[in-house]
Amino acid sequence: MTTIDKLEDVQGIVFSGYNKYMANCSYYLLQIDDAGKTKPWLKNLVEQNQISHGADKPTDETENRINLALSYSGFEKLQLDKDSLYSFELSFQEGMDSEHRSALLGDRGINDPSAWDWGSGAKRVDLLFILFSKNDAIHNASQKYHEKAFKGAGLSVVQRLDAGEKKQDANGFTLEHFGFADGISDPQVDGFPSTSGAGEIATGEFLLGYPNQYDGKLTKMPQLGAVGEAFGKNGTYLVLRQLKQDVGAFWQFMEEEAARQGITTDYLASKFVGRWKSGAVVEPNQDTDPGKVDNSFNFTKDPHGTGCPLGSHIRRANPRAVGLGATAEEALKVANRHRILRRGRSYGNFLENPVKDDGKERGLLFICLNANIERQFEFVQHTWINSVKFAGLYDEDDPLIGSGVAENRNFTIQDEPLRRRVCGFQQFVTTRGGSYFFLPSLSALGLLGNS
Amino acid sequence: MQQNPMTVITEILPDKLKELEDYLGPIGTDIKNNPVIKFADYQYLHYCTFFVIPGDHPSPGSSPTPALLAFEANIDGTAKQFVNDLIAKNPEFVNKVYGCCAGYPGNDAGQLASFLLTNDHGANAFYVAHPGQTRDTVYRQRDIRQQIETYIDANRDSLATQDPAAIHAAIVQQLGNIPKPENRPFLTLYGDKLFTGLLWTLGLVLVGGFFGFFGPFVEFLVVLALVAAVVYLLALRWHEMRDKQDDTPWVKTKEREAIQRVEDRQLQNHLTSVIEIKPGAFRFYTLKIVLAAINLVAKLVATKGNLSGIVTIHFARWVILPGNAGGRRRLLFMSNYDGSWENYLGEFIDHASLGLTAVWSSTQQAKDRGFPDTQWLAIKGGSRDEQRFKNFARNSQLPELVWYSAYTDLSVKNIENNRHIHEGLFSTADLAAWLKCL
Ligand code: HEM
Repeated sequence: MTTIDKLEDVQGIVFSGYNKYMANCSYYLLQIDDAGKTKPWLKNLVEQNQISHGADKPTDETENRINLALSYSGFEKLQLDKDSLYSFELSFQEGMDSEHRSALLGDRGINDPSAWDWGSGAKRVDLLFILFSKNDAIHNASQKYHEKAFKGAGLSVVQRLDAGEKKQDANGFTLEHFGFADGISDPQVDGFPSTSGAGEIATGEFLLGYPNQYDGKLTKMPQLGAVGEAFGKNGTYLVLRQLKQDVGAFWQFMEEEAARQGITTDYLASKFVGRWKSGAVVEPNQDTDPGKVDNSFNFTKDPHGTGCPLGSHIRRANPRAVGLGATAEEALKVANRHRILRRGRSYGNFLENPVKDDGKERGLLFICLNANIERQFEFVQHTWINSVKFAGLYDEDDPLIGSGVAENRNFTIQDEPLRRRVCGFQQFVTTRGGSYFFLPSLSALGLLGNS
Repeated sequence: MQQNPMTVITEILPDKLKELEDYLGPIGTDIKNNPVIKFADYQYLHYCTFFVIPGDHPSPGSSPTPALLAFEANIDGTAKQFVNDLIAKNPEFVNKVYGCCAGYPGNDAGQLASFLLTNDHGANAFYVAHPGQTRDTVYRQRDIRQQIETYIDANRDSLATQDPAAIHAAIVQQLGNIPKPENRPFLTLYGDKLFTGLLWTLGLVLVGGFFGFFGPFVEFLVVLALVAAVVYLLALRWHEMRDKQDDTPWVKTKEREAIQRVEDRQLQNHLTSVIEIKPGAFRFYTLKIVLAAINLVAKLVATKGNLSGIVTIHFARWVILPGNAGGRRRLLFMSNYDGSWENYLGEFIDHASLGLTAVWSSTQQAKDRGFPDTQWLAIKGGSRDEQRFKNFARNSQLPELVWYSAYTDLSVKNIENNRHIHEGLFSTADLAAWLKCL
C-alpha cells in the first residue's frame, strides 16, 4: 500500500469531481498576456489557500473549490528554462492540436483542430482555471470576482465553459446526455482517501512521484531548474476535451435501425454503450434493463461479446480481463496499464424530446487525469476506442463516440447463432476543442508564482 | 510456399546520397499512385522498405563509415525469383536506385540480379506471423470473408432462425465453387511438439549424462558443459555490472519528427532500428546465439500469429550488419506491425520482455548509453523498465524512405480469422464456434 506524502499538496480534483457538494462549475480557458502580472496572482492564490487540495474535504458549508492547470504554452509564457520545458512528456510538449497528436486521436474531418471553438491556432489556451461553487448565487458572485481578478493578472478569457443541467437516476448516478448513467466505473486507486485497502491501480498511474503499474517504477516527472523532480511530484497531467453530443440524431437513428432489425430501441442503444441506461452491463441472453448496477464484472463470463459487444464503448474503454493476454490475470494486468481517471461534467441542457433536435449544443466536457498521456489517455483513445482492429474486429471504431471516418462507422453485435451488424451510420460525438494540461502540486504552483 | 526475408545492404556513393533520397522520397509519400513503381504488381511481395543507415562522421582516430542503403523485402518463395521479377518488370527503378550505390554492375539484368543477391543478408532471425500464407492466399481469403459477410448482412433475419449446420450449408451453397485452402505447413502443425521433444531430449542427455547413464565420455562432456555454463554466467554478470545504461532524457529531434510524421497514420506501421552491438567478442557471440534461439522458436513454436504473446507482428527480422564500421558492429531490427508505436512497445514489455531483453541487452546507443540495466541476460530488469526502454527504442529508430504493405487493411488477427473462415467451409466440426468468426 502506498501512502501519499502530503494530501494538502495535491490539488483536490485528483481525488474528487466535487459532484456531491458543488452544483456549479465553470472552466475558464485563459491566455497569459502579461506573465509579470500573472505570477503574483498565482502566488496570492496559493498563499491565501484558495487552491483546493486533498486535505480540505468539502462539507455543506463549503462555498467554492478552485483548481488550476497549465498547458505547455502556459509554462513557456511563465519563462521556464529550456531544460525544464523538455522534461515534460512529448505529447504535452506537442499539444493536442498538433499534426501528429490530432492524427493519432482521430481528430480529422469535422473533428479537425482547425474547426475547433478553442484549443488551436489563435485560440490556444495557456491556463485552465476551474471554479466550483455550491449554488447559483455563490457561483455568480465568484465568477464576477475572479473574472475581475483575471484582468489584473494579465489574463484574458479565450472561452468559458459552464457545466450544464444535471440529472440523476433512481440509483443516484448522474446521467450523460444520451440518457445513460455515467460515472460508474472509476479505478480504485491505491493510497487515495476514498479507497479502502490497497486498491486495484497503483497511485503512480494518476499522481507523479509514486510507484506505477510497472512493478512500482516511477513515471518520469517534469523538473524545474534546481528544484528538480520535486517540482513534478504530487502533480499529474489533465486532458480536457469538449465533446458535442448529437442526441437527436442518436435516438432517431436508434429508432429507425431497431425497427429495421426488429429489436427494441433501448436494446440497440445499450449494445452501443455496453451498458443499459441504468448502467447495468449488458449480459448474454438479456433483453431488458435489469436496473441493478454491479461494476465487479470482468467479461470472463462473456468472452465472445454476445452480451456486452466486443466493440461497445465500455468494452473498448476498458477491456478488463478478456483479450489482452493468454490468461484472465495477464489480460487484466495489461488492461490496467492503460486506465484513466474521469473527472468531467456535461454541458448544455437536456434535450426534452430525445428524437427531436432543438438546435442547441450539448455534450460532455471530458476531463481525465493520468500520469502519462501517451500510455493512458492517448492509448485508450487510439488503440482501443478508435481502432478498427480492436479485439480482432475489421472495420469499425467506437460506435458511440468514434471518429468521423465514414467507412469505419460499422458495428458488429455478437449474437447466437449469428451476429447482427449495423453499417454506415453517422458520427454522434464531435470534438469541439481540447488541450493537454499539467495539474501541478500546490507547492509547484507556489514555485511558479515566485519564479 | 515459404516466406523468406531479403535484406539487401549496399554502400551509397557519397555524392549520390541526395539524389537517391530525392528519388525514393516521393515514392514513399505516394506509395500507391506514384508514377515510378507499383509494388502491388509484384505478386510475391508482402512488405518492403527502403531506408538509409546514415554514415558516421569521422571522429579522431576512427575511419569514417559510408551511408548504407537497406532494402528489406518480405516475400513468397526465393529471393532470386523475386529479384528477377522486379528487374524484369521495372528495370529502370532498380538501375536508378543501385546506380547510386558502390559496386553497381551496370544495367545487364543478370549481373544486376546477382549484385542484389550477393548483397542480400537474409536474416539472423526471422519471424512470420502466418507461415505458408502467400500474398495471393491472403487476398483470396479476404474476398471469401467479404462475400460471406455481405450475404449474411442481406439475409440475417432468415438465417438466424436456423441451426448452425443449416446456416453453414446455406453459406457454402451461396459461395458456390471455392478452392480448398492449402494445408498448413508441417512446422505450423507439429513444430511445437518437435520443439518440446528437442527440449526433453536435451534435458535427458544433460541429466542422464551427468549421472553417468551414457558412459564416462558423455558424463565428461556434460560436466564440461556445466563448467562452461558457470564460467559464462560469471563472465556475463561481470559484463553487466560494468555496463552503463542510457539516461539521456527524451528530446525532440529532427529525426524523431521525421519518424513521427509518418507514424500512426494508418492501421500498420514499420519500425526500423539500428543499434550498436556492445564491443567485444563476448557480447557478439552471445547475441548470435540468442538470435539463433529466437529463429528456432519462430520456426517451430511461434507459427500462429503469436510471437510469445505479441499478436500484432506480421513480419520481423534481426540482421547483424556486415562489416564492422569503425571497429563497431551493428544490429538491424525491422518489423511490420499493427497499431500504434505505443501499443507495439507496450506489447513487447507486457508479454515478451524475456526475449527482447536477451537481444538488446547486448546492444548500446553509444558508449555508456546502453540498454536499461539488466541482470542475467534477460531474467531481470532490461525492458521491464518501461520508460527507459521506450526511450532507448525511440533513439535507435530510423525513418524509412519507402514502406509498402500489400494489405494495410488486414491485421494479423484478421488474416488468421479469414483463414479459419475459409477452412471452416470445408469442415462440419463445431459450427457454432465457426459462426462466431463472422
Ligand atoms: C460524449 C462522449 C462520451 C460519452 C457519452 C460516454 C459515455 C460513457 C458511459 C455511458 C459510460 C458507462 C458508465 C461508466 O462506467 O461510468 C462510459 C464509461 C467509460 N468511458 Fe465514456 N463516454 C464518452 C467519452 C469518453 C472518452 C473520450 C473516453 C476516453 C478516451 C471515455 C472513456 C470511458 C471509460 C474509461 C469508461 C469506463 C469503462 C469501464 O471501466 O468500464 N469515454 N462512458
